[in-house]
Amino acid sequence: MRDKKGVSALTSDERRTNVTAVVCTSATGEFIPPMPIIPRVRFLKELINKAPTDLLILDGHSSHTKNLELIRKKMKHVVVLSVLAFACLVQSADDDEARLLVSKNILNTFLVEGKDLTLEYGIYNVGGSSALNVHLHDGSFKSEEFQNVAGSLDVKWERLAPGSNVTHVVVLRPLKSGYYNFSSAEVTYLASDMASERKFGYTTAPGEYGIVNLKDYDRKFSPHVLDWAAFAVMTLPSLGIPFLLWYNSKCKYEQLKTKKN
Amino acid sequence: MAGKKLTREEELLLEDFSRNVSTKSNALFYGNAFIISAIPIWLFWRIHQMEPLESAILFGIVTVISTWLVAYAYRNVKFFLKHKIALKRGEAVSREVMKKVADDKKMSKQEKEERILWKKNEVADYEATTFSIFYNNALYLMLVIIISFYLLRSFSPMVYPFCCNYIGSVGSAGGLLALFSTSTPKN
Repeated sequence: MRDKKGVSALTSDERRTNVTAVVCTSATGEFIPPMPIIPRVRFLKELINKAPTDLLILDGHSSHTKNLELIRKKMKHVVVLSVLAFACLVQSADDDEARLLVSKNILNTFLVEGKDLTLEYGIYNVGGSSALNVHLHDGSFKSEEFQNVAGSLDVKWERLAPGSNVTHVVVLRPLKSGYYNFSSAEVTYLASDMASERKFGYTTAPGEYGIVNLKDYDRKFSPHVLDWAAFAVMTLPSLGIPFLLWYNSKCKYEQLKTKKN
Repeated sequence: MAGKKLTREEELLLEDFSRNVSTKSNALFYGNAFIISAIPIWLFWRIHQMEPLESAILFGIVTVISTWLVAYAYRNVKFFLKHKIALKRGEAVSREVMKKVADDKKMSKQEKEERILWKKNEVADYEATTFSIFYNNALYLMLVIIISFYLLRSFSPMVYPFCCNYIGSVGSAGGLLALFSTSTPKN
C-alpha cells in the first residue's frame, strides 16, 4: 500500500460489446489471466441486475495503476473491466479508503442540434470510508459548441458516504450538428479524513455520437400540423368554389325537373 | 358553304361539339391550373424543407409545365362532361326558358328553340367547367400527396437531388391527370 498513487481509468465502450474480455487483478496483487466472456450470458442473475452498465474503476492500488501492460492491453482491445473486477474491488475495500466509480452517460436517444441533451453523472463510493471534497469537473464541452441550459459542469460534494452514490444531471444544447466525441470528465477527491493528496480520475466516456441537423430532424419527426392546416386552407377555395358553383346549378335544375314531374 | 355566313344555331352547334374553348374560359382554366400547380410548393417548402429561393427556377419550370397539363385536363374533362350534362339538363332548361318566354307572343317558335339551345349550351358549359375544375383539382392534389409522401417517400430527405421528389410528384401528378382526362367515358 505504500505505492498508493493516482487512479487508473478503465473505460468501456458500450457500442462494441461483441467481444468482451475480463482483465482482473486482485487487491493483493495477484493476476487472473485475461478472460474473454460472451456478454451477459454466463453471469449470475444477481450480478446482472446490479451491475452498472459501464463503470470506471477508480482504484488506487498499485497492481492496477502500475501495471502498464494491463493498461496497454485495455487500450488496445477496448476491454471492459467488468463485474469480476468490481467484485475484487469490493473485497479489497475493507481498508479505510474511499473508492469512487464514476459514470457519464447520455440519456437522449436522438441528439439534435438546438434541442436539449441530458447528461447524467453517477458517482458510486465502493470504498470503506467517506470520500471528502469530491469535485467533478467536465471541461469537454466548448462554449461555442454547447450551450448550458441547466446544471453545472463543475460540481462539488462535501462528503460521499461509503456504499452510497450520487447522481448529477446536466442539460446542454448542442449548437452544431455533426459527429461529436463525448470524452471523460474528471473527478478529484480526498480518499479519507487523513488524506492530504487528492485522488484523481476520469469518468467513463460516452464515445462518439452523431448530432442531427435540426432541419433533418424536423423533416423526419415534426408533425407539421400548422403547415398542413395552412395547406388545407389554401386548397379549400380551389376545391370549394368550383364545387359550390356546380352544386348550386345542379340543384337548381334538378329541382326544376322534379317540380314539373 | 364556304363564304356563307353560318347561322347562329350552326355556330352554337359547332361550339358545342368542338374542343376549343373561348378565351374567357381558357383564362379561367389557366388561372385555376396555375393556382393548383403552385400550391404544392408550400408542401415542399414547409414539409420537405426545400429552400424556396434556392429552387425558385425549378419551382417555376415545373409549375408552368404542370399548369399546362392541368389546363389540358380541364379542357378534356369539360368536353366530355358538357355533352352528358347537356343531355341531363335538357328538359329542365327548356322548361325554364319556356316558362320565361311563354308570355311573349311575338317570339317565333324557331326563336324560342334557339333560345333553349343557347341556354342549354350555357348551362352545360357552366356546369361542365365548374365540375371539371373541381374534379381535376381534387384528383391533382390527391395524386401529389400520394406520390410525394408515399411513393417517393425515400427520395425526400437527405438524398442528394432534393428536387427528385418535387419533379417526380408534381410532374407525374400533372401527367397522370392529363392522361386520365383523355380516356373516353364508357357511355
